[in-house]
Amino acid sequence: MRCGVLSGTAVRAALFCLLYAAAGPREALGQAAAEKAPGTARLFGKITRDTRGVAGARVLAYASFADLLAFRSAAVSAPSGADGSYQLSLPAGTYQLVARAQDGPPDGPVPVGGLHAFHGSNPFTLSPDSSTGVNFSLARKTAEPVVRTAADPGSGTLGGVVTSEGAGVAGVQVKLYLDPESAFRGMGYAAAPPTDERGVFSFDYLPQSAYYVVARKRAGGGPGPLVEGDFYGYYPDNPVQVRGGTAVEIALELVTRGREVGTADGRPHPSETRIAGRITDAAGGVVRGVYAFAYEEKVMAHKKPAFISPEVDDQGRYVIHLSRPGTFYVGARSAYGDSPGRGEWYGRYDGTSDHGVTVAAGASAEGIDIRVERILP
Amino acid sequence: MSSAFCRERLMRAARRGLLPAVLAAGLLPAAAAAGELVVRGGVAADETWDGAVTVVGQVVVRKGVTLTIRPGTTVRFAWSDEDGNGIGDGELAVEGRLVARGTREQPITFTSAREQPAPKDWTYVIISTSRESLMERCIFEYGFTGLQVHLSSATVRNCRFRRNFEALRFSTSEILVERNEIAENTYGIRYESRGSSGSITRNTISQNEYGFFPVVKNAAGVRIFENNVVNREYNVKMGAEQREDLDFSANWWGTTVPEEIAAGFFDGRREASIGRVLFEPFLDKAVVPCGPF
Repeated sequence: MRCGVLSGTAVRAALFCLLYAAAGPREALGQAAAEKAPGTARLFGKITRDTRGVAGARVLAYASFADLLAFRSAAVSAPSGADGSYQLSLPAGTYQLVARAQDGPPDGPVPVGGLHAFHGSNPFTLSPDSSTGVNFSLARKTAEPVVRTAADPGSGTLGGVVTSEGAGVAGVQVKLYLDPESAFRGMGYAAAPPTDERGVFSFDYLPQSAYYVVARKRAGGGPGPLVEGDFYGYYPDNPVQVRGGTAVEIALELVTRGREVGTADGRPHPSETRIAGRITDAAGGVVRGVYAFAYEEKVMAHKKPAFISPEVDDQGRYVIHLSRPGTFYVGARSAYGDSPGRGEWYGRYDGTSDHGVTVAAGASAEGIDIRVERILP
Repeated sequence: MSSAFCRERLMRAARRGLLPAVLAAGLLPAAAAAGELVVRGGVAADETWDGAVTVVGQVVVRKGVTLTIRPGTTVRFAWSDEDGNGIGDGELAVEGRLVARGTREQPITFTSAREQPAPKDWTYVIISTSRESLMERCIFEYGFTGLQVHLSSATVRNCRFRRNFEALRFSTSEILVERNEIAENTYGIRYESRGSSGSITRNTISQNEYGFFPVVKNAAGVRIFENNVVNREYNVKMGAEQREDLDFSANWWGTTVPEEIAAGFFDGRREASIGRVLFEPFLDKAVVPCGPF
């Protein structure tokens, strides 16, 4: 460990090495860089479970979601103190923040019995020389997923139970997201009916894919950012792989959202790479309540879209924000999830025979107009 | 690229004696021969196919366009598998209207272009958001699915489906399936009716691994009656999420012993969470005549 190079003075380097030597080189590097380098940001706060501080937990910062999935942290805090307090200095930038208290390496999969928190306000953008308070509420991973064989080889199911303090929680909205680009806000790919009194939820007939499972229960009902007192749950083994012919069951413990300081604004993250146009009926009229979808495969039926627009505006205009360039196959519907139903508005972009639109990075494909019609009216 | 463009290019190359060079350059599938129509891309205006037609990749019959296929036409799907999923990429996607009316003597054939054909050599003929498509006296063979019908109205009559992975699949459609022979496929008819209406009648559904596969969200709407249904594994295999019982009365199941008939179903009798096949009253003899031809 080249502590002297990083810390700048022999005394501080020695102190730093003494304090953090047991935590591994990456942890030390993150801390050491923060100690001296100008323009760094500082995180501080408390890590709790059921409002009580948790000692020995760590906060981990990831420069991207891919890094989070690969357990490549940019910085790791020292273990939290007896009251759950922690602090972490790291280069300014945008991070996914998680906290974990578990046996084994902190930057690794959460074992059964381990405590974890994926912050509901992720990602955080930390400015140079800033100091931001971020608290974490830890949930316990209570079980490994159970995978059973189902009769239908063409699709899978995903279900399970959401709990808090050992009991099922009713009225929880469990949603599936196809990727982390929306920061798990908005309508997602599919939403299960609210959980029953046992906390049970179920998604039927899912195309084979990986799904991010996120659960919320708002004390006051209605949409918008979570506030203090709401329930929140992020499955620690996200994304959950659902294969055709299988039924996956998971258990998800919820936490009560406490007072957290961060960048939560509840808004999707806009992108300069996008597809835009109008959705109209055969007569050119505005159709309200429809969305545009961008698929990665030519076959749209029974497939999951890669990106979804918000509902059209009162002029019928839509925008699909893309997190990456590429060729996407574009359609529109009045619902999302499952297959189109009878009477539903449905259409595909007809500017190309395969409905494909190619978008370069940072470019906006404009005029991608879609005509919809009702299915078997 | 329009199919007309491909046809013109092929014919011009043949006239100039350049066909071998065109083939060697990979511009056309090796199976193509002079005078054969090779189609790829979109069909953007009304068009009629006859003789030998080779479909390369996905061909889309676009909205508002009618594709007519004449009796005796053989449509071959060229082999490619760019995504490596083991299913040939050849596909005829009809978003306009397909009128494929063969005759007893001259059926229309949708088949593989490979010398040693096998199931899944091509993807499917798919009818999607189409009105009043008609497939009559057609043969569908060696596809992943011979024919899929979704969000459409369509008639499938006097056709043969053989050696596909799935013969026929449909969802959310107004569909008439009558007097067809569906044999030697893994799945005969796979469906998610989801508000579909119509009937499936006077078909011979035999020697498939599974006869009917109602996957999920099926209810009354499509009547299934007066069919001869005798298959290898199960005559009806209910999907794991098919909760409702389904009416399969008035069909011939190859026996008049109720217990033997019931043994041919994978349903609520085997898995309590799924619906049951309601097969009584059943026919006490095979339906004659029962399609096709």
